[in-house]
Amino acid sequence: MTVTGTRERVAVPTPRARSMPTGAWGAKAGFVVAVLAVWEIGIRLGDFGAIPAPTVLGKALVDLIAEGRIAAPVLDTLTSWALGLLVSAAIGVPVGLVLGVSTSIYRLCRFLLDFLRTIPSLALVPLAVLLYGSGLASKTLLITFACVWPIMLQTVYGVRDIDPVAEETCRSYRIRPVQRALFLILPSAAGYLATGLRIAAGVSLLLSLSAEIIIPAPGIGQEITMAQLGGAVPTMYAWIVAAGVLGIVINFLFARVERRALRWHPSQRQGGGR
Amino acid sequence: MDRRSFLLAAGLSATGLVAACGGNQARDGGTTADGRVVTNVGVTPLLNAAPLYLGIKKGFFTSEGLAVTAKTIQTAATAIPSMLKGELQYALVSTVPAINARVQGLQINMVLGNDVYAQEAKDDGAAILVRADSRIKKSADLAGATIGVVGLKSMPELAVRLAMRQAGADPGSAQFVELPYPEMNSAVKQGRVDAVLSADPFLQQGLDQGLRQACAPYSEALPKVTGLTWIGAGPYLQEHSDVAQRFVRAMTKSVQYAAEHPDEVRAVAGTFTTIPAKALAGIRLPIFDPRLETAQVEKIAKAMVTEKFITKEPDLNGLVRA
Repeated sequence: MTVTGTRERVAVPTPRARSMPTGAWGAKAGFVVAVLAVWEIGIRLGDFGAIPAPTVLGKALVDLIAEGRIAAPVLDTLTSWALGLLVSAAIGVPVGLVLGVSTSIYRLCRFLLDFLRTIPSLALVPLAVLLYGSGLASKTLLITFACVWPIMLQTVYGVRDIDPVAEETCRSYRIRPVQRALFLILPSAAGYLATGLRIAAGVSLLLSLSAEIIIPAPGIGQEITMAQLGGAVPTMYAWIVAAGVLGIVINFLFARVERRALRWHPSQRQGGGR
Repeated sequence: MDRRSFLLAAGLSATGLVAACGGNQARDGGTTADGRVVTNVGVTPLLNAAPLYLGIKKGFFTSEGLAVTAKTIQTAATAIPSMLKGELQYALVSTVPAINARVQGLQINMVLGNDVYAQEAKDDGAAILVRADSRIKKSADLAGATIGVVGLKSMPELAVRLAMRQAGADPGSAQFVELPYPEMNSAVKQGRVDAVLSADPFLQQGLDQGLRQACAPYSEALPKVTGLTWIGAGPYLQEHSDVAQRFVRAMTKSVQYAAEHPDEVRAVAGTFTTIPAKALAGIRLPIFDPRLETAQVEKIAKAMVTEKFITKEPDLNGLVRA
C-alpha cells in the first residue's frame, strides 16, 4: 500500500474499472458457444453419462420459465442469501473492527476463531433443524456460520492495514475515537471489507443451495432434489444452471458495486489490496 | 464412511444430545379455523408416499378431524430433528433410520406400516443391474464386486448384503459406493461400478438402455418385510393419544385404499412427484400394506448388527406402537 501522496497522481480509473471492450465480450461469448457445441456433439457421438445435451437442457430450462415455476424457488433462495449475508455482515464487521484494533483481544480469540472456522456449516444441519425447523431461520443460521468468517477476517486485515501517516495524523490532532472509526478505520478497511463481502456473497449462495438440498428447504436446492428423485434429469440440470446463473449475476453485481463505491480506494486503482 | 452417512451419524448424535439436554418438548400444530387438528407429515416425493396424498384427496383425514399437510423431507437426519421440534408430527421413513434413531436414544415410535417388499423378483421395483456381458448372474456372484447403492449404511445396502449372505457369498468382499439414482445406469455402462441397486423409474430406463437385471435383493432377502413405516415422536404420541389414534385410523384406511386402487396411485403420483408421465404408466407400484409387526422390525435390527451398521441391538421395546 502506498502513501497518501500518490492518491492524487493515479486518480484516473484503470481500464478494469470501465466496461470491457466489445471485442473481448464477443470472444468470451464465442468461447462459451464453442464449449456448448463440443458438449452437444460429444453427447450425440458418445456417452456422457446422465448429463443431458445442451439443447435438451435448454428446453427444460425454457419449460421451467414458461410454466412460471422458476420465480418462487429463485426468490426463496435469494431471500435466504440476502438475509444470511446481512446477518453475517452485522456480526462480522463490528467484531472484525474490535479484533483489528486490539491485538490483545485478537490473540485471546484466535484459537477459538480458528476452531469455529474449521467446523463445516453443513455438519450443523440436524442441529439447525432441531432448533429452528426446516425453514428460513435454519438456512440463515447455516449461512451465517459460514459467511461471518471471511467478512470478519477481511475487516481485521483491513483495519491492520491503515496508512501509518494517516494514523499518526489522527493521533496528532487528537481525533476522537468515534470520528477515528468513521473517517479513518472504516474507509481504510473498506477495500478489504468489500472483498470479504464479495467472497461471502458466493459462500452464502452456496450454503443456501446446499441447505435447501439437504434439509430440504424451499428454494432452488429443493427443486434440484425433487427433480432428481423423480428421474427428471434434464429438469434437474436446468435448476443447476439456474443456480449457476444466479451465482454469476451476484458476483457481477458485487464486483460492479465494489468498483463504483470504492472508486477512490487504492485497491481499485492499482489492483492491490485483494 | 461417506459424507452423508457421516452427517447422519453426527447429526443424530448431536440431536440426541440436544434433545436430552432440553427435554423433549412435544408441540402440536394447533387447530384450524374449523376445528381440525393441524398435522404436518413429512414424506419424500416418491411413489411410496401416494397413500398420504390419496388420503388427503379422499377426505379420510378430514373425516377424522385432521387437517393434514404433506411436507417434503429428504433424509431421516433432518426429518427426525424436525419431528422432535414439533414442526412435523409424522414422517415416512425406512426401518433403518428409525432403528438408528433408537440407537441414539431418540424417542421415535412406529405407528403403522406403509408398504412391504415384494415376494417375487417380477414384482420388485428395485433390482441389481449389470452390463449385458457381466459375469454377475445371481446374488452369489456379487462377491468381490463394486456395487453402487443410493445411500451407504442404509436399507439398500442392507438388502444387498443380506441377499449375498443368504446366497452364500461374503458381503465383506464387496465394495459399496454411494451413487445417486440418475448416475447409476451410466456408471454401470462405463464400468465405474460392476453393479448397481437401481429402482423404478431408473430401473426401467436402465433396462431400456441395454443393461441386464441380475437379481432382486429385496424380494430375495426380505420378502413381505415392511419397507417404509410411518413414525412419530414419542412424547407427541403420548400427549395426544386421541389425535394419534385418529391419524393411525385415517392413514391405515389411506394405505388400504392405495393397495386396492393402483390406477388412482398412478394418477395422484403425477401431482406430487416429478416422474415423467410416460415412465409412470409402466412403473411397478410399491405393495402397500399398513400392517406392522415387531418381529419384522427385530429381524432388520438383528441384520443391522450382523452387517455392523450398529454395534449392539437397541432396545426396541415400544418402538412399534400401533
